[in-house]
Amino acid sequence: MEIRVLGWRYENLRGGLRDVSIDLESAPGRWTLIQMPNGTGKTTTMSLFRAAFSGEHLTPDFVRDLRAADDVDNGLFEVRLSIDGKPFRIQVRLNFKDGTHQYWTARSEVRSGGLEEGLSLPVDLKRLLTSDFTRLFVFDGELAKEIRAVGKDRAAMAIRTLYRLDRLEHLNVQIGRLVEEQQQRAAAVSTATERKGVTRWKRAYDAAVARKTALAAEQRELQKRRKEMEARRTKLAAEINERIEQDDALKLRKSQLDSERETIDRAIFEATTQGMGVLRLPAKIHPNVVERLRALGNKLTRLKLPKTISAEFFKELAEQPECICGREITPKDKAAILSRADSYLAEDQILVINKMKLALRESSADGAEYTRIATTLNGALRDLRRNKMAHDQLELERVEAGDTELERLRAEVSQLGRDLETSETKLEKLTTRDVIRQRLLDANDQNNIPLCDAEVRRCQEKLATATDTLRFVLQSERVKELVSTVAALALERLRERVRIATNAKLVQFVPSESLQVARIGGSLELGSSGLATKGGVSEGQSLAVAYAFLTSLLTEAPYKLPFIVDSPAVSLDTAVRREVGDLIPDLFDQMIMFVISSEREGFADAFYGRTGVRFITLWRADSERTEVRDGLPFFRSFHQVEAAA
Amino acid sequence: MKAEKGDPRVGALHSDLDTAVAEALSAAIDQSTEFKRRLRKLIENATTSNLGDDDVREVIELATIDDGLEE
Amino acid sequence: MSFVISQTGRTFFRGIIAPPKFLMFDAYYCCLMAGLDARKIGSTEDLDSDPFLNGYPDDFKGQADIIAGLLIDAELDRKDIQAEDRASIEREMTRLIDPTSATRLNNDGDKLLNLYAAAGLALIQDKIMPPSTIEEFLVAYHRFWHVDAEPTEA
Repeated sequence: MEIRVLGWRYENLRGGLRDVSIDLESAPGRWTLIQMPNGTGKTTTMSLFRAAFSGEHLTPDFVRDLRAADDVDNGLFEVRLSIDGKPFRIQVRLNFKDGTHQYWTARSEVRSGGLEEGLSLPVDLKRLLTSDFTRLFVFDGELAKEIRAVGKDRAAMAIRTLYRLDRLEHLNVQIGRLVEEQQQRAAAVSTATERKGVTRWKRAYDAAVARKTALAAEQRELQKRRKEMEARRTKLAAEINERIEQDDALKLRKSQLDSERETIDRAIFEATTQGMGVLRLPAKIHPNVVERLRALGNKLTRLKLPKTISAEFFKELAEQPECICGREITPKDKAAILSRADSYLAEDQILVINKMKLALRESSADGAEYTRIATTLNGALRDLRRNKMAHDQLELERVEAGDTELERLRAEVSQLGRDLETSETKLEKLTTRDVIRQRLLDANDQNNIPLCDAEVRRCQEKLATATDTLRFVLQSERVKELVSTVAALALERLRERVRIATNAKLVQFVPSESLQVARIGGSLELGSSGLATKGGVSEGQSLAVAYAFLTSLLTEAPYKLPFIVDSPAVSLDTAVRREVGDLIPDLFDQMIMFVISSEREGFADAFYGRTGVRFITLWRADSERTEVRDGLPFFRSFHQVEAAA
Repeated sequence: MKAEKGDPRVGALHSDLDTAVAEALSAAIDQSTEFKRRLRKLIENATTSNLGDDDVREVIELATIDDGLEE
Repeated sequence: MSFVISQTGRTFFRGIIAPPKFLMFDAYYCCLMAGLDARKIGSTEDLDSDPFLNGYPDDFKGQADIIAGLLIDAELDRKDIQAEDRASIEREMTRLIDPTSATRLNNDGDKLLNLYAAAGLALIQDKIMPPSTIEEFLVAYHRFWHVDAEPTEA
């Protein structure tokens, strides 16, 4: 992957850059040296290159400051690039009046190469070209110092961006956002998703389960007690029988009563079954009902209800131009017809009423059957009461005859009856699922098994939500921790890799001095041995270190980037300058170097003998006009008083 | 811009990053092989911005935590 | 249609409700018949309970027309709509009848059934003790209807 600068162009920019175009051709050479005297816009060009690559925001003051003169409102900087052989054109459009700017891009693959608003670089490249990263290859002299400056974190930042460790930081941000979303979702179920919440719901759940167990035990106990009482009652009944049967006369009477009881029970059963059948027919409840049904049926018949004319008839009529009598139907008539149509029955209603009328008139039953059954039942119930009393009488006679044991047994039976009733009530309160009964019996999750069950389920759900969320939070923390560890370990290794490569370069750059990077922390820290102790490093050495670092770094970049540099040698003493001049040309695949005339000696002249070098000179002919001249001869011989304008 | 096959620096993990992942994960003795495999891929995808929320969530949910919450 | 029987109603019939012998709907129906016959409706506050059934049980499905007729009859009488007032009678019917409903009644009609049943329950409670057997209730309910004649009481 390769990026090359094919050329650039200025419109209406200060420094006389009103209409200046630099064309490096469609296949630019490896090196371009551009001689620009001070004051012709080198700094401006560097800033605008950085902007064009990174799409960074420019301040209004910066934009206004680029204005060529008061007679222009708009300016332009345009860079032409080749990215993997495909042409791109990036424009920075400047509005001097309001200090704004816009990026525009033309891509050969999109919109037939037409301009579109925004900086549209390939996505991988765009990610790499942050404002800070761009300063590494659109080289900022200040950066050379910053790379060495403690606390600026430039070196580490560059490594992180280049090797995409910044994406891992982004991954952790993403994880943090997912946790927040999860917590918000969980908050809909339970507000308590923290550990405290988990503890609280666990406690509530445990308590509810314990209560359910206790209530179930209570139920078993009550059922067991009831069974025992019922068994006891059966046993008592048998004992009472035994005692009565000890007397032959009583025994005989008892057996008569028993057989009579059977007959009564059978009669009651039969009459009840019949009675329910009768009860469920309204017409058989009472003669009044039949009478009313018939009266209604007759009333409807007399009134000729339901009418044969339905609501639908009138609704249709309202839509006709004329009534059936031939009179015109005015809008007022139409409204009146429609409003009254609603008081007529609809066709399907008429059908139902006719059916009803038929049912009413045919309801021939009367109350006689129910009366017969009620009379029978009433008699049977009376017989039953008598039979019970007679039975009781047998026992009482025996007691009066001195059977104290029987008296005791009877008292026990009576007590058992009351106890059974009590335990029935308790059991009902404990087990009823009927919402209404629960309300009436003051049942709650403390004393009613179904309600307690519901509470267990509720706590379980809350607990699960709180637990799931907490688990997710803890899992997220674990993952974030691992990602951070990976990033830290990777950064450590990459720093070491870059450090070794940098030092190898430094040996080539400045073989006479033992200038070595001891450590890459946030910044490049030089070894304390030799000449390069802290504070004792010259600007030239510092630049050498920066170059060594950058070249080591950028050769690892996924893109082959152009290296654009302003006055690379100006601060170097002649000896170092020559070494740098000899070495630099091989570092990058495309280099664009802005130089001033004083840099020709020892630096630019190192390129004179090479092939594939472009020499361009750019100077201000007068205050309005900037000239561009191509070629080595002019480049070598160019003399101008710096900042003539 | 698609990654070119011959260029190992785009797409695949840089060897140092790969080593860092291996080192970090081998220290995480509490984690499952499945989790480690998925996290490695997640990190690889993160460096190329080739991942969605669901991918991240799935890997998170594979993480083992020692907190008495596992039942 | 959602039938509602009040809390007190449920408590009153508690001793005998034992499906399929005696349904909750049987209790409701007995109250309804009493309310319709008396031409009295209860208040909405009496319906302090949840619906217990939607639609008629099988044993009552054949009675839908009759029950709807009884409701209309009761309403005409309760409002004192004269037998000759054909327009008002027709309006009452259009107001209450919905041919597509299982009860043949629309929402308003269904609500009225619940209110008549609520009034009927109050009348029954006035005259009858909470029954503990169905046979006992059958006798008492018959006596409730024949309170003047007392034909069954010896």
